[in-house]
Amino acid sequence: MSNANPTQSSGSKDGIARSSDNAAAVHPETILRIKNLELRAKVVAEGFMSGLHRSPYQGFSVEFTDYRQYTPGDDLRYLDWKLYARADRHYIKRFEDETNLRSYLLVDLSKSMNFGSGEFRKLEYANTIAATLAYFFSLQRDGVGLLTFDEKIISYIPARFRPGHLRRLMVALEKTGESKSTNIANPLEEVARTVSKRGMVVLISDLLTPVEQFTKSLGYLRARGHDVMILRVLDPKDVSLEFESASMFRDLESGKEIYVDPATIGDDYRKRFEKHRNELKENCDQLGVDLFEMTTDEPLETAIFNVIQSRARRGRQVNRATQTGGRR
Amino acid sequence: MSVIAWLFGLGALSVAFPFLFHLIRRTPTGQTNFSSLMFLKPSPPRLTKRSRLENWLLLLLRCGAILALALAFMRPFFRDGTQVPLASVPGRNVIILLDQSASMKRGELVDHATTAVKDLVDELKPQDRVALFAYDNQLHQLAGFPDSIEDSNSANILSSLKTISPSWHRANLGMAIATAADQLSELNEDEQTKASGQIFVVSDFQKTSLLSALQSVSWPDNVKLQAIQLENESTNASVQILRDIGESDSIDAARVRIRNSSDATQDQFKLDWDSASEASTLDYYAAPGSTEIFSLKFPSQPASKLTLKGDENEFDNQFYFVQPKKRQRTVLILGSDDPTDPEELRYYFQKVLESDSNVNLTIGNPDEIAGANPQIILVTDPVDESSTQQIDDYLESGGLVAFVAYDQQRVESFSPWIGGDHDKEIRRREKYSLLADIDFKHPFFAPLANAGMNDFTGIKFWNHAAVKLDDPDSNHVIAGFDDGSPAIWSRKVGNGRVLTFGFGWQPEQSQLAFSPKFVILAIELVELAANERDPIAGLLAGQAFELDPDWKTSKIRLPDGTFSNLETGQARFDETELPGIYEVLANDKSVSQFAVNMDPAESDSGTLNVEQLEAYGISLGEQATAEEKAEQLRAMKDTQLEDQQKIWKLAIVLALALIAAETFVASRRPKGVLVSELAEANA
Repeated sequence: MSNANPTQSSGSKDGIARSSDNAAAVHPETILRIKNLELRAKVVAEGFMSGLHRSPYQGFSVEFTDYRQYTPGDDLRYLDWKLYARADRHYIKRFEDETNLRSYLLVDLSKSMNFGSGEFRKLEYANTIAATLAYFFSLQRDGVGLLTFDEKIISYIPARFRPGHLRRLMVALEKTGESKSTNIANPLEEVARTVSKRGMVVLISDLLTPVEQFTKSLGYLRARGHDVMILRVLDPKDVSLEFESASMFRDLESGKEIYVDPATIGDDYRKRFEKHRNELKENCDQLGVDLFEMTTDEPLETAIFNVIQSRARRGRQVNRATQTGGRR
Repeated sequence: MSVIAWLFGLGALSVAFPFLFHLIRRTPTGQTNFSSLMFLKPSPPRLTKRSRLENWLLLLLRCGAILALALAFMRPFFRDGTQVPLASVPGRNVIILLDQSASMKRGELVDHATTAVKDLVDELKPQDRVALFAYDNQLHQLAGFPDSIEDSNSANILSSLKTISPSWHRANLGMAIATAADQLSELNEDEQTKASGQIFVVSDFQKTSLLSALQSVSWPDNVKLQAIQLENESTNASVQILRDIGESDSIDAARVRIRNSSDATQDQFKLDWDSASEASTLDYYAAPGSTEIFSLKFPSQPASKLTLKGDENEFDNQFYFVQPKKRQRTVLILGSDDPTDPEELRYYFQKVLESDSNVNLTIGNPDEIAGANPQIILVTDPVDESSTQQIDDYLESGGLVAFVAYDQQRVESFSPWIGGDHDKEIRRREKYSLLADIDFKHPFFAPLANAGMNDFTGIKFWNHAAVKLDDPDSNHVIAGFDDGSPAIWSRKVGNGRVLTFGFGWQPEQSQLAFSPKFVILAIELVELAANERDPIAGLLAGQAFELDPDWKTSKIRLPDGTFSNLETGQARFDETELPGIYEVLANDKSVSQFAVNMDPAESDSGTLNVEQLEAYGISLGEQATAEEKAEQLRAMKDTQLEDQQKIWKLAIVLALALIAAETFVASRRPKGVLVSELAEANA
């Protein structure tokens, strides 16, 4: 798994013993044979969590924070009657949010995700990651939202934590789009526009689109204070272009066909791909976006590790900020 | 080598495909779906254009297999050198039937017909023999078959065509076809040849053509009929004066019928009597396809012809008639019935005849016979002996006596005259009897002969006389009862006639008086006494006119002014070819007149569906000519030869061998050749 996370340097420095986990990890092919997405997510998450240390940043309870003056129209349930008895003043109790983390999963369902050189497609892999994360966040009682897109937004489910919400997410993930291109900037801007509270945004896509198209949108998100993480899902052949014979190559999105002999232009392809990858990494580093790249032959648990590690890192920062009085 | 199905030879052209596949540009066929083409750039197209052939052996094997298959399908064979000489193949015996009925007078049908016959004669082959017949109500031979095939009668046929002109007769197509078919089969039997028979019918195929003769024809096997239908674009309307039955004003006015063809463009006509002084000024309207019947007053001047004006085709626009004259008839009734009692016989008879102003009805006793000078005496009561002489005298003078003998008493009383006596052996029907065996040809029943009128089953006879006729030959039974006894019969007595009714029409005896038929029969009885023919009905062209021996006719003046001399004692005159008025002359004095008209059926412009002839078993179509038959024989012979030689089997074996060889050679071919070829081409 030396190249499992080529762009994430922080992963190797983390204290989690990854090598042993990976040894126990189930091959994605086995996982993806499970038809039910929800069940699949549970299998991945449980497999992952069995080796996870208990984190001090999970399981926030509903806690009282402060009072504020009652104004007509406020819900009387939250009126502090005892204080009224003592002070003859109406005060409303204020609590911390029900969840302290709102995560948004942005899943690319464009046709390019339909490519798969093996037994399954990138789309199934990406869906499983999204479902697993959603399940995982739900276990943590965190609010999870979902936004699926191709050229335009296919479905948008705001972040919630309530019964049945996970089920809605799973159903939304099963939907696919019909568009002939991908527009990553669109969903990023949508999230930046609609989600005012800070949260975590996980973009799951193959990002096979010019980097400059979505860099600005990533910047918006970061500017709104969101933690942004990109899980780039690629097919091994997307990286290597290892095809045996020459043939007409058809773009899954546009339907355009060109004649390609991988033997002759393979080097050129890899060079251009690498250039795009570097450009992406540079931009992400500049914006403070975590970029994890994984190919569909890697265990699915890797994705969860990456997210947890990222959250742990961010969590520490947040925790520090809270301790210094930076309450939301 | 010859082949049977040479068209399969076109399959051999498919040898071009292996060559073409070898030479055309080869483009990559495989397709790979890929995430995105953004990092890909097109490789130089790997297309090869072959200008030289490789793998000659494989190519030849494949082409050989295709050729062998094509050869097998073509069913090749070797001829054995025998030929089918044309002279040995029998030709056709052709009869051309040319319609010359009156309807051929329409438009330019005759010209079309002669052109059609000429064309037919021109198209005949040297092996064919041809005869030309014309038909209307009879078949006329214009040019018979030549004695041998070598003789040609084409010239005869062409010259006889010049004399063709339509007659005024009705077309009997069935008779013409049946006779022609008979002639053809007889000719074959006589000459013992296998020549096929062909009938061409050149006609306008009127819907009203008579076909009944075909019902009894068993169509010969080797005879076919080809119909050549002549198109007539002109429209037609016709006029006819209908015979009126029992209407008293028929003497003053005529019922005129105008028929207009369905494709007619004009619907307004004028009618003209031949007495030119009273030309019609009224327009008569007959919509296309309709028949209009109306009453038209006879002119004050005697007329013999009614002409329809405004019609395209003139041939049927005249109708000839002999204008009826007003005559008084006297009827003497000998009977004591109460004329006002509806239960009595006389009540009904008198009611009918009272309304006719031309009939004088006298009721009296036999003594008044001489004074009244009646045309008919109706006897309803038994005759006493004193009256017998008067009746005998009247009969001797040529009178008509009608006896109503509905019971035994009357039969016995009338037995001297009625030719029979009461018959005890006849067993009556228990409830009622019906009339049976009615002679509708007899003038008494003739007006009731039409389909709508001739049903007597609704008239029940409760009682009737049982009469046994003494001499069946001298008695003419006009109608009988269903139990076998006669109902109405006539016989000659002296110079006169006796008509006997074996029943009574009063309600007690039968239902006849309540039937509308009784009115007609009563009037006919009086007309019978007058012994005159219906002048309006006249004759149709070709029908014979019965001559009265009493006239002692010497000659007849024809409508064209010429005379036809008759032999002494001649009873029938049948030279009624032309429509018009015929005058019967005796010693240069006119004794009678009769009108002859064209059959109105010939005016009908509706056409017969020729396929209808197939319903009579006629085989429609054209026989193969000698050349076509020779060709068929040759093809049959070829098929036989091919069937015996079975070269196609060898060709199939060869094709299989070549395919096996091709498979073997292809499997020995080093693998990866394609890859190397591609690499080579790519470079």
